[in-house]
Amino acid sequence: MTKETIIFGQGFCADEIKRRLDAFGCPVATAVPQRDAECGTDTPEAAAAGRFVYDRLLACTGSAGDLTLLASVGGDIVRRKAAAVVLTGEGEREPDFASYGLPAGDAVVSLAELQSLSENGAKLAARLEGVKRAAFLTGVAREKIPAVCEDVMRLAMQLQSEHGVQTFIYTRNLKVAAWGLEALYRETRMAGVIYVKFSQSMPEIVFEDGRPVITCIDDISHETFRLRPDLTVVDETLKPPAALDELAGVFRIQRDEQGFAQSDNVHRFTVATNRHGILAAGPVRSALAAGRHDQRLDAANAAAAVVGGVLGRKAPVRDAAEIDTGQCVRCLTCYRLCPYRAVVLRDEQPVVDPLVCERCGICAAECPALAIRLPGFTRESVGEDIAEGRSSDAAAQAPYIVAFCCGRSAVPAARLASMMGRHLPARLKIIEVPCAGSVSREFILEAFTRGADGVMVLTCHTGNCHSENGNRHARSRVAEICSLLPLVGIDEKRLATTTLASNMGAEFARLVDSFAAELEKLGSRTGGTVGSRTA
Amino acid sequence: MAHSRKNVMVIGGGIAGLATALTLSDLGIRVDLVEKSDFLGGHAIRFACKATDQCVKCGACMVEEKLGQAVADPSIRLLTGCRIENIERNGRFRADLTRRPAYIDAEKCTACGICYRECPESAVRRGYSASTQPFYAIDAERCLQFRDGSCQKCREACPEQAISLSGEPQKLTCEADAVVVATGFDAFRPVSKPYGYGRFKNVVTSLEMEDILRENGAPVRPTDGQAVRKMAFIQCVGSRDASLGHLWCSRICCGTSLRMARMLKHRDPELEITFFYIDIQTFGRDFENVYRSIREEMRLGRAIPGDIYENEAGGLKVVHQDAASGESIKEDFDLVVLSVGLTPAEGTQQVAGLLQLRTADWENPFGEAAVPEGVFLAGTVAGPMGIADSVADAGRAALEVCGYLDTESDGK
Repeated sequence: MTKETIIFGQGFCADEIKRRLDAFGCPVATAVPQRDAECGTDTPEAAAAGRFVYDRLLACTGSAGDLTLLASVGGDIVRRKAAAVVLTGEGEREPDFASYGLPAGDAVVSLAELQSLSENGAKLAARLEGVKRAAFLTGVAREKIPAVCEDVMRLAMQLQSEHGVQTFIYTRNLKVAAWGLEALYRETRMAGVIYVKFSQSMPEIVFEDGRPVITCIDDISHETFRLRPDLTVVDETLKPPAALDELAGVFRIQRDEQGFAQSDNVHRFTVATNRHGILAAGPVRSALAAGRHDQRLDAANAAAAVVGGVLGRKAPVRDAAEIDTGQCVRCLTCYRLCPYRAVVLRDEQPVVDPLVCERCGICAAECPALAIRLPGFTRESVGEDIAEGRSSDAAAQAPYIVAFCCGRSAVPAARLASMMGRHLPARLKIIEVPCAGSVSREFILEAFTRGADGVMVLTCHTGNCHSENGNRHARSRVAEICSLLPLVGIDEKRLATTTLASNMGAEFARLVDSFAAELEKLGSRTGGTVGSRTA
Repeated sequence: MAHSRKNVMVIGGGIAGLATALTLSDLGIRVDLVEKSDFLGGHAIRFACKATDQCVKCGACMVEEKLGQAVADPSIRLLTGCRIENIERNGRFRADLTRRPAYIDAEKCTACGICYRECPESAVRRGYSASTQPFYAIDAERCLQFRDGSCQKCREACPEQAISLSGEPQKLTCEADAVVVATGFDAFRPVSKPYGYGRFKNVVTSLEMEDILRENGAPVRPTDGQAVRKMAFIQCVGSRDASLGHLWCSRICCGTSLRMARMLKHRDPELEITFFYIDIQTFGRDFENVYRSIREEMRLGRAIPGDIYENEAGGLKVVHQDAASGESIKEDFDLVVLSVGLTPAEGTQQVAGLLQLRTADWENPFGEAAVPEGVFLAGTVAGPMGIADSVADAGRAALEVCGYLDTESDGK
């Protein structure tokens, strides 16, 4: 088994990761697509130099510590082992010219272009010849991040104090939420940089005689400013690199709405993806990780994950989901839905890799052939649990509520409610589930069958599911069953779903109490064929 | 890399300390987590979930999760209620700790809360996390029994006989191969600001607002418990303030307060919210969309109010510059939340003295920290940051500790 980590992407963050891993003696290879490689195919020389050159990446199988990358190299299919994969590299900076209606040219330049000149004083001086006044537009069309704002302030400062240019920074909100930026802001003002801020009205920018004219009303002074700068500097918006489209597909990782290589989910803090052993670090995971300091932190966290995962202790063995191959119809629903990519194909048969499975139970709940089970969490065991909760105080008059609670959110919220001394319904049966996504239609119907007066499915908030979409699956099942319940004589109000967080003790109590009140109004459940077995 | 016999002392049980301890544990290193208060989780465990109809990535649930993981981790020894008396260094670190007696027996306590309700002096404090054992703690500085021996109501009322109002502090020793300082921050106390904080009960800090929300799930006025109809947030209280010498943005307040405001508005669309700010800081990946929603959901006022008075009805009169006209106006509000900034923690000084380290000067952020070999900083001890950044910084610190232990082992 190799201990090598393969890094996709180059740049500051990639170098930092290499530096960190080198210090621990962890081998690293850089993946280079053939089109970008100056050397030939995946020669032994390239491998020795820590490079993995490929034409096309085809697949990635296995689990953290033991991944296999499949790639085509010079017409052959090559297998490359890796302990971990890190996706990194620089994001793509897109200048906001179009959103201001400004053409790049003598009088209009992008922040990145001017910055690249600023490394050479003479070149910058040449570009600034004849420039007496310069305007920086930052966060005018689109809100920006502190890393961009810092670049703007430093460059403005340089123009102001080294090149005798009067600089103006136009912005809606100056982004100073990073270490040292408020102090830098003060420093630039002391140096003579003028800030123009607006929020009530947007500046009007017109292009006249080859130069922009900016007119706006300052928020604080309420004065109208009109400026015709000799040079206008337009900032950029960070986008995910185009190469990510291919990589994300091959590695089957969840991306966020903007297309960055990590879903916008707190469970992925800091560099994790939905797939163990596949990490995302720096600007490719989020524009918010574009600053140098953020990239250093990401690199260290990626290295910590590699060192901890590969050389540290092993993950504990768990009761993974099991697919009954006799019952399986090979529809591949499980393969598509598993958020951790634990379902793999072996001889055309989907099986669960127990090293990858997180026991969320989405596959078991969604399998149309009912061929998947989670050990210790079956319709029978859950049904018995529900029946037991009912019979223990069957004489009570209060409605019997069965609440399927996600172990990550609703269960701790319930515990907190009880610890805070909150009133809870007299007959509340909490069924802890590994993820709301494991609550199948069968479980919900079983609860009614076993005598529940009302059933709740309490999930994590949308966008907070550790299994990415388990809560959404649960909600759509509830909606579906709600539409069917009246057909069997059960009021649809007897089935409810809500989202909660682990620290919402007060809210949990209020929620179940008002559900209990609703059930009191409906009276105890008598009708319904689903409930006939316990009637 | 055999680190299983290595031991690291992490000072501070807030989110940075918890995350550092957990990452160290992942790296196969044993941890003593030393916390001065009775509860783990620091400031961040107080935070309420800010979800609207969806998660807004405030990270509050991550603190709950990490606290639970740390409690369950056999490689992490949790030492709450501890004061570090002395640290000696002779190759390894040797710390002498004094641990306050556990007045409530964690084994016996069932978290019924009777002591909490019985105490006449509010000296029984309640935890925030369901993983906190025991869930209640007695603040000896407020307790009448410790003051003059006049009250034993909690002990008498406890159905489990879990309370004992006596006991000697325990002396403990920590031997460590490295030390991580994660002593966090102090929230700015806005008594010097002209907002009547401390005099007007309906002026609360953002942290106190978190408590109100955790208790009630809705905003209520501290004076009368009535639902709030009209409220204001004032940003940058103690941040970006040259008159205080606070030349820093506290980084978390725009995100925290705007997430809170949106959550409140989501739960009660009738609620009127005004948000006074200097510059709205970006938070979250979809900030562009969030910012658009914010402008529809609440009134934004770019100018920090000058003064607050109490009006005849017990409400608050806020003097501020009207955004549209630029005129100074007086306006009534039910509740004002002061978004208080982060400041260097006082407790850091004591620890810094024992370890002979100097943290970066917040007022001069370009100054260098001076940290001795084998000592590492994690989280807000080094400057303002939020939950996600503290977790990231903790990961960085843990990796550096691990690297240091490696070189130490190689050298021997």
